[in-house]
Amino acid sequence: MRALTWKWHWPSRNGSLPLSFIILLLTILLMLGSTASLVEVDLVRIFKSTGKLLGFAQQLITIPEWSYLPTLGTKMLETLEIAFLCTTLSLILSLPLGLLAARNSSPHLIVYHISRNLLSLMRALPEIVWALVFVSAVGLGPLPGVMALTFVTTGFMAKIFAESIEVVNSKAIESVAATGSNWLQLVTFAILPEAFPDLISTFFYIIDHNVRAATIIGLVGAGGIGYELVMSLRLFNYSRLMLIMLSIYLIVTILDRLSDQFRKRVI
Amino acid sequence: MSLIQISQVSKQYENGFRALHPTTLTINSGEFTVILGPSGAGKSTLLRLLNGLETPSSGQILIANRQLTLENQRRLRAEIGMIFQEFNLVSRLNVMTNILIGRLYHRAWWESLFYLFPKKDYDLAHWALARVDLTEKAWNRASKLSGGQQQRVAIARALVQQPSVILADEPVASLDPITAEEIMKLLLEICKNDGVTVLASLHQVGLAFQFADRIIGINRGQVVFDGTAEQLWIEQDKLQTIYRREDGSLDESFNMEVALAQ
Amino acid sequence: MVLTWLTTVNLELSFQSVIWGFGDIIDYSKQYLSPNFSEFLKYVKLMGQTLAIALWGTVLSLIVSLILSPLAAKNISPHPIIYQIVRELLNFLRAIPDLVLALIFVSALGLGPLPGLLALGLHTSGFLGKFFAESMERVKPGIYEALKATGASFFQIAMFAAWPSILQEVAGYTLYIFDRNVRVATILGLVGAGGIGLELSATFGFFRYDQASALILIIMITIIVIDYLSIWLRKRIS
Repeated sequence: MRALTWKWHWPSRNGSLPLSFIILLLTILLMLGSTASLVEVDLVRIFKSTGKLLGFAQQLITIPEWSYLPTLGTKMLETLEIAFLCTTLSLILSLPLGLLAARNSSPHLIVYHISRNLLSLMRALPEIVWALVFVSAVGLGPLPGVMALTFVTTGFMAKIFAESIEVVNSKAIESVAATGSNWLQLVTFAILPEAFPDLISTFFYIIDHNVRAATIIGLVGAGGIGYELVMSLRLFNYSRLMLIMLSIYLIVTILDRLSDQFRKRVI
Repeated sequence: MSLIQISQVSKQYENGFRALHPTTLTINSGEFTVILGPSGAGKSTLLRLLNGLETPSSGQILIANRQLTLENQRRLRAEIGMIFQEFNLVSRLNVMTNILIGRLYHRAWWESLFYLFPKKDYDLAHWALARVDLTEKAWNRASKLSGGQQQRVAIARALVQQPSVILADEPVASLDPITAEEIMKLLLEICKNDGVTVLASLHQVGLAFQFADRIIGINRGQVVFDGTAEQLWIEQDKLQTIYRREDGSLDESFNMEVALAQ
Repeated sequence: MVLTWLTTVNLELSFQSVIWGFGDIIDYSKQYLSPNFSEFLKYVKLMGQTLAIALWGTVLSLIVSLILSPLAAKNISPHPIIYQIVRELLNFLRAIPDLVLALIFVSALGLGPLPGLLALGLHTSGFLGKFFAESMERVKPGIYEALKATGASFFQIAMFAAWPSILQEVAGYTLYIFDRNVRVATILGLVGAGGIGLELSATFGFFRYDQASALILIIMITIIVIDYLSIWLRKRIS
């Protein structure tokens, strides 16, 4: 009733905000407040650094170093190649894994559980952590990058495959199973064709993801454009930096549009 | 007294479809006017032109002697209530909030940011709820209501706008016949008791005969009849013109409805 | 297939060496088998900081996208030009990888978690903004028309028609982004933007694989726990 003495109140039965909303808001604020010192949030610092950021942006407006373009081209190609290679490799690896990890196509319940857990372990770490591990194992270059990306995307793709296989119309499976076919025939004639559109859109999603990932694994020396980016930033070579950032932006945007188009056409 | 004046208004969509040929009409204040015609005749376009949901390709619309422009569009819309075939309530919000949406024009942006409404808006909303006989449902979620109840909420939402006219675009097309008649009765009552002009589009002849003061028959974007229900009852051939298709046959909604009306 | 082969040759990859070096790899992995938890408390604190970065980043991106997404939804945006500009801005934020953004903010703000959370927040508001805008475009057009017909303004349509209609999707997407941000926050340290990643790359630099193993285990367990939590929450929401 207190709320009614105020000129305004909320459109709820008792005129106040819903309790669940208040609790949610307080929890989030409490969590933010208690971690503010941990993340060193400092509005003054942000405010002070805007000048620096603007200065940085100003420095980016330079004459691009055109002679750098060929090197940039090969590095960008390398990035795309890494992404492409990892996508195809993980596609090959994830098909059998996905079948094993889907409840309705897995040959045994234990196999299902083991492969499910294996996949979530593979997915758990970001590819750059795996890249660190593989770089220290096989040395610098694209190879550790390819290994790391393939590892993680296989985990992702196999999980998505498994899920789309699970939602496949079980009637289609039953009708093929009724003809007395074995597990492999069931998979090739009933499950894969039904899940196909899902698989295609997954494929595009993964390629998109992989190109993004391939641009940054170079930060730890695992091939691709990322290494060039860090180096030119460290050396204050802004005329190169601008070109690199522009090319990353262009590639990712083009890919984004392309995969949007393809998905629209398939679905 | 004329409330809405439409002169030489036409509408052609970007795809070339001519929904409304140049039309001149005057809608009188306090009357219950029904726009009758088969589906696709241009009834909906005509109604939506009146509050600027569509912009006319040519011609002029005057509402209480004011022309509909981009500047006064929101103010004129606030004076015109509109109800739809699909009710168009925000299903996650409760009934009260859905009704208060009718007051949004009078609320500042910061009031809307915090979902706050002043007491006088609640008083209006409670009055409107009682008017449509749904007081006990005030705090229910809109999606939990039946179709007829949802349309009542939509009418209440239009009522709290304190409109001079209510546009009803096929208000009963997705309701069963009994509920449809209840909703039409409610609209008629609002028209007669509260003095709100009602302009409703219908495709059922029966309901038009039962409720309309005036019937405007539309076929393929052209007004083919304008008069009282009695006149249309006498001029049966005019009734057929309203429902005549391009190839000369009659629209299927016609035969059934006439049978019902008799 | 041919393309795959060509790219392999072009990248000068030799998978043979991977296979031949299998023995070495086993030797190498053995070093991870005895994780060294002697600095466990420090790691936990760093993981806490990582989670805090993810949380702040998610809240920041939620706030930014709450403002931007109604402008980027085609059917309610106040003007086609505003729609195009905001869409492009969101595309831009999505296209620049968050690690790159973090690098830039680190060079402007100095080391620490603050540039990290700013990078996360800005990059993911590109995602959330796009997701929310697309959800708003899927809302029944009649609902927007009904509000327009009452004389409601663009802002009021966003508040009373758009947001309530997509509330469930908002919660789902935000959880998904938080999930993602936790993963990314673990590696922000690689560029000096706070969190557990700096420690991780340092252990690799000193060839302390026992400590690296402990860190990786902590990261893995945290991510899996967060994963299950968000799956559970998303199920409860829907």
